[in-house]
Amino acid sequence: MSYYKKAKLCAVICAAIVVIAAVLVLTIGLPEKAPFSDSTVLTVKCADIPFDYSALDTELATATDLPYTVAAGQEITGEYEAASVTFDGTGFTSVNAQDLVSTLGASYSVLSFNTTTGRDAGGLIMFLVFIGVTTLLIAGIYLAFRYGLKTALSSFVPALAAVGGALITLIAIGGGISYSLATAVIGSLAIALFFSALAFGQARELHESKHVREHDEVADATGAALMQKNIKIGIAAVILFGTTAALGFILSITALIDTAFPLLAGTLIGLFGAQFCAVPLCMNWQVDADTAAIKKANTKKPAKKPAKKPAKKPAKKSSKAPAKGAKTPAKKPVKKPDKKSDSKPVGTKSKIKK
Amino acid sequence: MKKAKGLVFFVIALLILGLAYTAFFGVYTWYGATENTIIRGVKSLLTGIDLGQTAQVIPTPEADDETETTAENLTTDRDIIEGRLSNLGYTSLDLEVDVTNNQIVLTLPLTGDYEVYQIKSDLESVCGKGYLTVRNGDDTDDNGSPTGDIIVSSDDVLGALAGRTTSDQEPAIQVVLDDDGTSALYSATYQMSDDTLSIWMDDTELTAYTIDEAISNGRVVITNDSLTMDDASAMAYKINLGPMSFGFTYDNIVELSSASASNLQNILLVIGCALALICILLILAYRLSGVIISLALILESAFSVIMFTSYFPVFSPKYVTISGVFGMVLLGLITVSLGIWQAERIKHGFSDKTSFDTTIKGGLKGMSAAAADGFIVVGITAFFTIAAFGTSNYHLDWFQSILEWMNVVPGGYSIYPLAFILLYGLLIDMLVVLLVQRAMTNTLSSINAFKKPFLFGGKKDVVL
Repeated sequence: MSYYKKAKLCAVICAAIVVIAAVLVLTIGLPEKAPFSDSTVLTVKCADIPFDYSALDTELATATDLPYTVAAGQEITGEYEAASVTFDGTGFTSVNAQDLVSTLGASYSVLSFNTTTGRDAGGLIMFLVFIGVTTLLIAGIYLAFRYGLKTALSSFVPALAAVGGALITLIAIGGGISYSLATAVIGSLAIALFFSALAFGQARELHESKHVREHDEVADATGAALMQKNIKIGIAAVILFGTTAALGFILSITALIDTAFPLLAGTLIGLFGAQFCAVPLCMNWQVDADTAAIKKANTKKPAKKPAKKPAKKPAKKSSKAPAKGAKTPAKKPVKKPDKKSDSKPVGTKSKIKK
Repeated sequence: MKKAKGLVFFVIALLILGLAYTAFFGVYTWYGATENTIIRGVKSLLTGIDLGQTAQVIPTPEADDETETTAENLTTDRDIIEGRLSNLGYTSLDLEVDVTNNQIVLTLPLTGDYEVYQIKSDLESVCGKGYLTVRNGDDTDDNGSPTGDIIVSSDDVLGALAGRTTSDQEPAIQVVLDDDGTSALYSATYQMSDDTLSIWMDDTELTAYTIDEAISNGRVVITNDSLTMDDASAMAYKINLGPMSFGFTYDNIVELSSASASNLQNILLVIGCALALICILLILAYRLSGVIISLALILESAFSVIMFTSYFPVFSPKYVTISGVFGMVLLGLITVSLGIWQAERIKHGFSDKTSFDTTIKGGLKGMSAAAADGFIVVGITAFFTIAAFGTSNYHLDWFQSILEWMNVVPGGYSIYPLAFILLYGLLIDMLVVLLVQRAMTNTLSSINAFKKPFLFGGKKDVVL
């Protein structure tokens, strides 16, 4: 399969990831997690005797079906022991709390009982949308300035796919709207753009090198050069995020798990998306632009100056135009007298004379 | 000369290891049973509420307040308390509103060596209503409450600026009044002759003046003998946040340790082990290039820790949350990625059969632009994240004002450590990768004994 076909396939996969993520978010939805969900906080005071946490746990298990976490503690000056129980949801009432405490014994009492309203999840979503849009806009302008508009646009494909991949993973592991979501989404977006920028740099360098000149050759060479690096980077990412996720399981810190897995998915999609999709895609577009420019030049030129220069120049130029996906006649790696003037950065406007 | 150049590598390596050692383990001295901190290490990291010990406080509106307690008032006051606490350095905290009981559930991070009086003092300073009044006279009643007529109040304040007085260079706060406040102040002071004008924050007198001419510029200055520059900044910030609907009281402060508490050091230790594994794999794959990447990674990790510990006790440390941990991991991954890029380029160069020095130079050359592009695009993401999620006392206040104008509601402070480490860490990472890593490769490759392609990742049979 030619590189461009692979790129198109990859672009379709990236688009599919984004669509699936959007569909999942819109249909299944992301449940609100703390601190964006309503919750109940019960603080139990224990005077005189040591706090019996196992008894509290036993009573809690029978008293409610709601998920809860218990934090052990004491009054800050050490006057008495206390435990804070945070329930997901508001199904546990103050009456339940009194019943629970009475079963624990006479030394126990309710220190405080609060039903808290979750923070505005819309605010977090708006912020993420704002960060995404402004980042893509400004980073896009920067990349367009450095590599050309189409190159910049092609970097959005793996970046959006990375965010989509992170969201799908988050939904798959049962995550929701939380700070973990924000971390995973922002991290995935940033790292995907980072890998795209690196890949464009590699492509530009290969384009400017003496060995490869045409777009398809550059795409092939870039892909080959990137693959060696990306596999190792991918392994490093798996080790790092895998370790962090494992820590989450070992230490029972859900936020570590909810961030590590989506971030790993986003990183890998961003990494390989840049290689398989962004670079060849921008070159594919560039080929189309070059071909269109040459066609335009060929049709215009005879009309402009029909008598003076018959067919020589256009014929020469058109022979340089690469067919989509096809290899151009191999150029001998003969050193040119002026390398720089001959080279053309990836994604910049074609210098072919009209 | 060449020998000296070669030695530079070892000097850099020693400096990196020295910095890393002090950053990770710190420098502490003992005087009897008292530990003195010379340089903060990992054990001095402040743990965010999602990873460590916390204090739970339930602020309740003061009973004698006449203002009606509504969900809207409580939410506004929650945000003001959040802003005040962030100004005191609590960049990891949680405040939830309980509209049923008209209370706020506040969770604060606790450091290992916290002082109860400090926590209480911080809470006192944030729970007050924060209502500023400029009064005629400085008399008080039996309860210590001011009794002078109110000339202007918080409602007439445009803003406050911390600075120094022009005469004595003493720390001061300049309060700028709106048109109504300016004319009220002018009218009141016009009639004063050697009378006292006092400025109060709730029931605390901040300053008092004897007035002998009318104040027409709409500005009053708060200064006193005990005011420091930090106090002035904090006061100006508090005035700018505006007063709350109520003053709050609390009964108990409960210290809590969740099941996951005190695990930050363990998490960092295990992530450090994962990075060590990556270093070993890189050394196996690229030999000396792997050693260089490992040193760069150690340096970057040391700086990641330094950014939160602030290294020397004169600087304020910052709280590490889970998002901050992931910021550190992402920076580590970026350093590893660029290291792999550099090593692969050098390795690939050896197959072109060019000279050793040309290959090394070629490996380093050309990578800078791509790496800089990468840093810039991540930097753009980090900038907007820090602008959006940054604490209220961050320098990008103006940007948050624009966001508020666009009706974009703040998402919370927990993401701040991620944005903070991404933005500032990237700048450091850029130096590490583009300067230190290159310098190490250049100097190490100039040593004759190491001028072998195999040592820089090339194949054994490559002879240049």
